[in-house]
Amino acid sequence: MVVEIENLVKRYGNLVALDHFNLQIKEGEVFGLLGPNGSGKSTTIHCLLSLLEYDKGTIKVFGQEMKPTSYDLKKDIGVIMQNVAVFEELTVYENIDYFCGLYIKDKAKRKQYVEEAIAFVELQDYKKFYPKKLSGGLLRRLNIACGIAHKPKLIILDEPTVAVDPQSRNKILEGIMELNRQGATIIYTSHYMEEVEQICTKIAIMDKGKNIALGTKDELKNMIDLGETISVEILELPDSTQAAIKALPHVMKVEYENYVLKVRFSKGKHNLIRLLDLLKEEEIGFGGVHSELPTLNDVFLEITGKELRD
Amino acid sequence: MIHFWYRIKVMLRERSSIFWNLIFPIFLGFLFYVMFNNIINNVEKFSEISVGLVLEQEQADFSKLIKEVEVEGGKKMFAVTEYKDADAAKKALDEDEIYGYITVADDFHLVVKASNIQTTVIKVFLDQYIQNSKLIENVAKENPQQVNAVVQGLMNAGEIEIKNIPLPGQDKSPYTQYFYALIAMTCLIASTIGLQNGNNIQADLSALAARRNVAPTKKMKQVLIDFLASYLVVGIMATIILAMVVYGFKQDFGGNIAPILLVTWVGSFTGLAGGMMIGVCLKGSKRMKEGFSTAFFMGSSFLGGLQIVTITYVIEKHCPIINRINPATLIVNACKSLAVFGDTRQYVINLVTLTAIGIAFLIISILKLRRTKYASI
Repeated sequence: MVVEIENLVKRYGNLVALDHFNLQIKEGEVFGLLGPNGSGKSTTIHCLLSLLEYDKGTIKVFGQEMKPTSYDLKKDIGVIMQNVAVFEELTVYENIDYFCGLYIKDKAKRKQYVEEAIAFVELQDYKKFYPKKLSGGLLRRLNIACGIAHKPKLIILDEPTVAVDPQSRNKILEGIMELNRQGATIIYTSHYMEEVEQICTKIAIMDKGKNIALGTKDELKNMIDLGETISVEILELPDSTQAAIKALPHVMKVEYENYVLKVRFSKGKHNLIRLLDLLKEEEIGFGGVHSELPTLNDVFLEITGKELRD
Repeated sequence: MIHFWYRIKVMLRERSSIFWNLIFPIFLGFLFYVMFNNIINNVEKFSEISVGLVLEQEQADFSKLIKEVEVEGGKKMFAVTEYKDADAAKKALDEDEIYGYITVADDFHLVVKASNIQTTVIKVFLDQYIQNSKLIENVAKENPQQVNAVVQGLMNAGEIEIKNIPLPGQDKSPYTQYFYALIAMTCLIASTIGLQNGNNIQADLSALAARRNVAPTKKMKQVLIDFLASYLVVGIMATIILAMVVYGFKQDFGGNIAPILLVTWVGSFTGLAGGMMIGVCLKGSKRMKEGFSTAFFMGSSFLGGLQIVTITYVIEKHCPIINRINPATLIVNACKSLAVFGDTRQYVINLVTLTAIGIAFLIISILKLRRTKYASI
């Protein structure tokens, strides 16, 4: 195991931020910690890095207990914080060189690593730029380069794409996948379910400091009854037809709003065909038809009764 | 070494730090220089005040007296120029050749253009002469036999000498104390940089500090490297300021430049360590800590006499312990004890106390930082 967290409890006064939280991360995984703001993702990361004191529990990294003085363990960890953590007075190159220098003492090796990190985040043209001259996306890439330049085995990314444009976000996500291919284990926290779905091989869904669901993307989706949601554009839908739709097999919920019929099905086959056949029989004209598989938001919604972004 | 040089780079590129730690003290020193230079120049001219004399009526006694009256050291008090009439004297006055002129007729008439030290001296001299003349005239009328005694008495009164007992130190300027206070302030402004060092290593204060905390470099190593790099920069800036004061603003500190340079380096150390202690020990936001740090160096400088030189005497009278532990006062007193009083022992005591306070600040900071985990980030 790369990371083992057992019964972790962290309180801020009366607020329980982590409530007997457990987590195990294997080597080579891209592990997603998904949860709404305030669910305890960042607190977990800070405890894991021995930055925060916690009330109870044990944390092991690479099989050893993690402490503030675990310098040997820290050598193999790279951290990309939620907020950009660079020196405003140093250039792109100097910032990466400085942070790499905290890990790598050999000058020649460090130079090589810094150049590789710059190439990795595609900041070659901005080496001599100061952070304030960089756009939000470039700044995030610099932030990442500072965290990964020393080639860590475990990379922790705490919401690295907050306030980033779509193009930079894609580059960042591709970069993370590449780091994983190169052998790094990744811990990725986010409240963007699409990102987690896109890159994570295993996901823990957090809420109120608890790990409420754990598994691969498919395993999590299989935990809920929802199979698919079918949306059909319809100009007019009589109540009798709505009642007939509700009577179809596997139908969980029927909504008709703004000329769009939305039918949620539990698991089952041929749901779309059955629905369209019924509409034909009832001589209801319809436009576009969309079928959506359940998302992690649906998983979160079914487990907690609220949206991820609430 | 890479951290050391990068810390120096960061400091040298921080414009606000450079302004407050280098430009501002030099600017303040310049203001002192301009202000005190005017006063000093005026005081120097005091020994020879150019005055015009228009003798419309013969007054040999007065004419002789005003030309011969001397100040301490045998220098003439007045540089007297006789004019044939008031018009010529007025022309000279208008052209600033003289501070004023005295017309001697049945009585004395003084004309001046402005009110300043020189014209005040002329007026006081003239008033005293008139007063004494009248006294002698009255005595001559009423008790002629007493005239000699009165004249003798007045002469003796004129010979009353106020002796200056020279202090052992070489610095005789009454205004240098302001420059000592300026040096003290320069040293203590370093607390703002110390504060920054303290903030930049506490994970609960910034993401940057958090990133440094998760690195495998020991926190104490980072703290000490930051401190040494900052100390080098702050010390050099203090040296530049001292050089500016000595060579630019002509304060030679009685020839004690090297010992005073040592005071600035020790003072900078204490200032830097004080700022770091504020950053590490005080709980609160960065802004609040900055406010406290500013209050620390400005308050200490005020108590050391930056704004009011005599404040240290008031404190000495009512609460002397403050003067023993206030870093700014210790810096000022270390400089003064050597340059003004020539007291090496007191200089060493002040320097050692200052060093001890700085070391205490540093140790407290280090103890507080050791193996810290934070309750919240």
